Amino acid sequence: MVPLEYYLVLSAAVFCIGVFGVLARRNALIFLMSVELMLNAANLVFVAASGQYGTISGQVFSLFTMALAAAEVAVGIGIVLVVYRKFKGVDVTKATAMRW
Amino acid sequence: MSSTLELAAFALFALTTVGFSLGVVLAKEAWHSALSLGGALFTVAIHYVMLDAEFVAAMQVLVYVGGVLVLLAFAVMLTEGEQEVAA
Repeated sequence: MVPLEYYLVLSAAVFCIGVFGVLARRNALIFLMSVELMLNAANLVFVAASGQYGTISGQVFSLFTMALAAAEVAVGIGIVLVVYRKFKGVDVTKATAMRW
Repeated sequence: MSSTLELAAFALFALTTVGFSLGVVLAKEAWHSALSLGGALFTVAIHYVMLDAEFVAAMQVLVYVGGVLVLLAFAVMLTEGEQEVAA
């Protein structure tokens, strides 16, 4: 069994990469993909801890997270397509209608 | 022996996961990001199998690679194709 700490380090790395993607990129679709990365990092910790402590609740919770991520992407892509039609692109810095 | 092999496999797949994740945020084109995301999600499914969570791994492949990634690829193609025409 691989120690839990290794999975924590891997998950932290993936989560930080996702945060970097949200902060540094301007493409709204890459925003969504980075959010998926972060959700996956959280899921990985849930499942690894579930294996470590011998309970199944972590795996159950990760299944809930997956359903939530699928719903989030469906709504997010609807928003991205509307932004694309209204602002002629998916650059998040161009969408200024609701920005002060 | 078995533990060493398991650690080696973990290191290999962890490096692959991190590499694909970097590919998601560093790729120039959104389509390449979507492909890298597919690789990252798939290697996370491999981690789930190594953690004895086969059902979660199957759901990961079905929901993410089969649903979310197809949806993202759909949106990438829908936006990129018209962007080239407009630009």
